[in-house]
Amino acid sequence: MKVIKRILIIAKTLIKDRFMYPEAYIGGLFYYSIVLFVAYLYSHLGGGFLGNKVIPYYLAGLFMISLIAHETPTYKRFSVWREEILSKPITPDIFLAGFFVGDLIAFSAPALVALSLLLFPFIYRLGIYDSNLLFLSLTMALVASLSVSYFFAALGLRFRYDPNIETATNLFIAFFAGIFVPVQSLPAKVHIISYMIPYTWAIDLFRYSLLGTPTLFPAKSEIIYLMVGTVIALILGRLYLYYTINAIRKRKVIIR
Amino acid sequence: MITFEDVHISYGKNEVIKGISFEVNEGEIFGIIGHNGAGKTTLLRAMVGIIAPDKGKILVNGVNPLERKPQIAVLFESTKGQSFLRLTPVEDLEFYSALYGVDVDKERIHEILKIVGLYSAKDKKLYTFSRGMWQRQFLARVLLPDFPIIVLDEPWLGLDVSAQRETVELLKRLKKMGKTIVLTAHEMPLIERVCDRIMLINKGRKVIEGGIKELLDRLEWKYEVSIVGDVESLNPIKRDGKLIFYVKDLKEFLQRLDFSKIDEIDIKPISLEEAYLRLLGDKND
Repeated sequence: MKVIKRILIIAKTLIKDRFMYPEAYIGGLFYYSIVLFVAYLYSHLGGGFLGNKVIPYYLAGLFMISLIAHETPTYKRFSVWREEILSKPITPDIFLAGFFVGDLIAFSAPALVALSLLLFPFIYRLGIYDSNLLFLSLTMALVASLSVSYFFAALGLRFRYDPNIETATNLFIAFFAGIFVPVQSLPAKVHIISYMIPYTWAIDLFRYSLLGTPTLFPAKSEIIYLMVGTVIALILGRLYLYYTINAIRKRKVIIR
Repeated sequence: MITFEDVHISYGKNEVIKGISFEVNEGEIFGIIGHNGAGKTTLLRAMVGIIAPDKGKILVNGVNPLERKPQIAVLFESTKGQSFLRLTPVEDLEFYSALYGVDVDKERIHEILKIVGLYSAKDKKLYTFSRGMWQRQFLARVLLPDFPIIVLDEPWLGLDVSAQRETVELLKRLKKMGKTIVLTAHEMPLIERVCDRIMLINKGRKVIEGGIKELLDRLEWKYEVSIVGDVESLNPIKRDGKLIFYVKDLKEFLQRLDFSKIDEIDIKPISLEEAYLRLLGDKND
């Protein structure tokens, strides 16, 4: 119970703070508008592989990125609060979970509600199988986001925060996980990179269940890839965080 | 209460702490002083268990800080700027209660804000705070968990004279409350006012340790004499256009002076700052 209480206090602090910065929401709205404008232009160019589903495809991409985009803020937080995390009784897991929940409510929730309204015609039509698949893909995307956050928490403890790394990571994930560009349309040689990102499977299944877009592999196989990949990423991410903390202690690999 | 025994710490091949031993007693204010890069913050990091010594032993209340996070409320210089600026000091302390893993209610937070003199600003946003108010907020954070030991990295850095004075008074109050305080700082007059004992380190080695009066008594020089005039033949130290002498026997020294060649003379008992400069020199080289 005490652990949950600590997580909720951190989350509450972040939520209160976030609501004090309305400009952040205006910035988010601007970003979403640009992405949808690009989708609109793309659909007028014929849509290529996506046919007439360009805008819903991009809406689904925005939905997913709103749900999972917690890893790069984690990198910043673990970097700037480094000595607090390492010296205070709080565990890195609680610190991470608190901010994760806070981000989810303060940042993701408003965007997800807005995007759900836009995607409502598709959500409304869902059958039981697709609803379950949608729920599974969203849940696993969240777990995948947590696991990637663990990696970035370790990077934050080890290295100085650099906004360029944050931007590059966001672009990398958006590009290779197929958030805005279908993985099928990427050169075959780089598909392996996409397959190694758990988000790829979550996004693919999410779109398949919601929009009926073709999947990279049979859906049943992707469910297995998603679940196995996410669990492995979560274990590796957490191990890497604690390995980094140990390396800081023993080998003093800490920014001075 | 805190024991360092022949502690060595290296960052890669660079040994920054070279066999330092010292003890901090319960209820005292202990200052660690030295030039930038002398190893002060590294000692604090080892004290709270962020880094492990390569050799030697560290115990905090009999416990190795690497095995269990010690009950030390610590404020590092590098994390001072990290806050939720549009929240209030009360909300900031609630957040810190989660970091320290302690349960505190609003009453306790208000009590702490009263101790540090911020109660009247409890509803203000943190971004409106002056540097002095920030310093009080930092001290409120370290008071929050009610741990017996408080560690402060550069508590006076960047503060104006009035805020420095406020912090000195607060530290004295904390000592009266029974807290043991370890701090690093460069502001010698303030250290002299607040610390019971100090340790001077240079390039990772302990130069001297003890009570301030005792240390000054142990020094070879008892007075600092600054002169404007023609006394070059006595090999003075030149500083700020004045000629400085560190003197053990004042009477004997004055007898050696030719006052007809002296325009101005100032004699004062040696201060910690002068002793520091005399022991370590103006620069780190």
